[in-house]
Amino acid sequence: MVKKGILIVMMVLLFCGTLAAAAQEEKSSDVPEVAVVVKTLTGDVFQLKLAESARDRAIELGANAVIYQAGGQTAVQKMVSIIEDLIVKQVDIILISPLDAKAVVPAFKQAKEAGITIVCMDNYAEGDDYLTFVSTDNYAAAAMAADYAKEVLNGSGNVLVVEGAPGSAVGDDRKNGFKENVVKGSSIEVVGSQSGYWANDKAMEATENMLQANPDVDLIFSCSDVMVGGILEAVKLAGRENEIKIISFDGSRDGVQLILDGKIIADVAQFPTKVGAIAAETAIGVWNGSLNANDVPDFIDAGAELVTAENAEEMLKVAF
Amino acid sequence: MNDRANDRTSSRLRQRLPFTLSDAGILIWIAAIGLFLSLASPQFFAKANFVNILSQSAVIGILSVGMTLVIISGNDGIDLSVGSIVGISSVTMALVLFPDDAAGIVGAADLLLAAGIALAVGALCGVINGIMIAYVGLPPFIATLAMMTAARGVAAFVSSGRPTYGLPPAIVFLGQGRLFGIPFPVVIMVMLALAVFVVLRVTTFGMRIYAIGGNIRTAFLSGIQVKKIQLAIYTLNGLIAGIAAIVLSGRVNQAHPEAGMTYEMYTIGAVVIGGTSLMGGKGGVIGSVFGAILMAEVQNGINLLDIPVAFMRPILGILIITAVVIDQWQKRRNSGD
Repeated sequence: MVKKGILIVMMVLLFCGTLAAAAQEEKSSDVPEVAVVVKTLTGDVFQLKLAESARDRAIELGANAVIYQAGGQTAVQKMVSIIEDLIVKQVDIILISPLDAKAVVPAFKQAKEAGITIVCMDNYAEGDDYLTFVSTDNYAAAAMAADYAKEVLNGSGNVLVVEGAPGSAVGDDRKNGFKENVVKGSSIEVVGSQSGYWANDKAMEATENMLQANPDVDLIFSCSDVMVGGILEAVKLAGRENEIKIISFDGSRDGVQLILDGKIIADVAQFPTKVGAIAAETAIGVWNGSLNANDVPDFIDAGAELVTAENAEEMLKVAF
Repeated sequence: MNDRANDRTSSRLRQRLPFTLSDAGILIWIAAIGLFLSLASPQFFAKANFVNILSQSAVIGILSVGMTLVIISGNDGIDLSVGSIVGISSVTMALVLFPDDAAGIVGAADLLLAAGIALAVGALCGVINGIMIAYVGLPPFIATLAMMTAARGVAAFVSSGRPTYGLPPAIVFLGQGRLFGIPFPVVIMVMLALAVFVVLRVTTFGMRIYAIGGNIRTAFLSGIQVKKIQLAIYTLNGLIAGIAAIVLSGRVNQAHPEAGMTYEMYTIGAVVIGGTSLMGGKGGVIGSVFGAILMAEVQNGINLLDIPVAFMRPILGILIITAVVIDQWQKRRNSGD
């Protein structure tokens, strides 16, 4: 009985596989086949917006586009096998947000040899087998937060930084972008900088402890909106809501809403939809010859914008 | 002969004391690190900071109480799924509280229902673990590894991957409130630890857990219903993870599908640092709670001194290794080698 069930499942799978193969054969060569590959669509609105905008822009430009997801924040091996499958399928363009800068390199090499154009989005990869890397310039964006902090504090005061997970390149860029620029030309001092591990509970603990160590704190910079909830709870529990201002990073809907609620003063907004659209435009441009691959820079900044009480209402409409 | 008599007296004495000698050992560690931190940072030795450390140890402390039972019961007993159970209980509770995705006023009945369901979800995960281990015969490592992945997946699914901010005041009180100046999570941790301590020392159920951990065949031959006890232990551990989920959600004032991520590692660390042997049959909950407090103290010190956090995990690693080495050294000394 059980064996029969397994047999039926296998036959259904086989049938689906045949259908997919048949669909593949129908593709015409004058329309590019675009594969959008991301970490996961569940639990990560940023990746979801990134993937959807890349796919939608590609379809607007006349391509066939499909989203593939590795199915987890750490499913590196799955992502590599997706790339290998795409090489077999002979797609023309891969728009990808690599899970690991090193692990995808051999697969990228194979894909390039097969004539596939690759663009990295949000996360970069090592080697030079891809066309370009489209992302927020995290260092520059965090520097915007630093400039605003200097303005708000009139050039003097004590600040704390809640960092991302240790070893995260994105987190390090934001941390350094803020810390290096906030002290430039001001008498502001960074009195504590500890990791919140991209998680609210850890961010809360780190903030509680840093507040204990520093009786005089004027401002806290959070390297991501995913930690700002924990930071707010820590500040509230310490009874120091009125003396401490908070700036966050991401520009998510939750973050922008916190500005409207008066809980934080600013949020550096990234634009996942711009990252996806630019990636699709650039890759398709090179594919159809309207762009010269040699003219495309190695890094394209999708831009960032500082959200404050002044423009929060506007930004809430476009926030991810 | 004389040695054995001594041993018997000392073990009888040990049963009468509220905690064992290795618990005293860990208290010395906590005091020593505390002394060092007091000298290194002027902000360490303050009531507010001790309150911080205790609050921060509470969730891992609560989890470590259940994990201690699992590990004492031996036979490779381990539960890797507690962190994921915290996540799934947390988001299910939020789902019951705010079915329409909008935070509003919540009545007392809804509140009890939500908390009850969080506990029930935790216990259910524990029951599944227990059945897989005791009746299907899977190694605990494998059964709970599967639960760790599955529960995290379901948590992401039921919450659509989005956290819920702003929980009802009663839940927030469980995480942030105070009772006579003591943070409520700490009250829960202490009460739970004392209750389980009594269960382990006084009840036949407790003695059977040690018996199974000491030698499962002997336990079986002496008529202990080994499978039922194992099922009960893993169920209880799931239930305790449900308690931890409510406390953590209240503390951070949100329900998050990734709540409790990697907590299983900190919990196992607390139990091992607390002197419970991974081989089973030996140990206790009081030591585990001290283990959790020690880990929170180290984290606190790193944050106070603004040491780069990359050092945090290596330091905890060294603490765990040290605890195991001391455990084995004591065992060798006791067996007279």
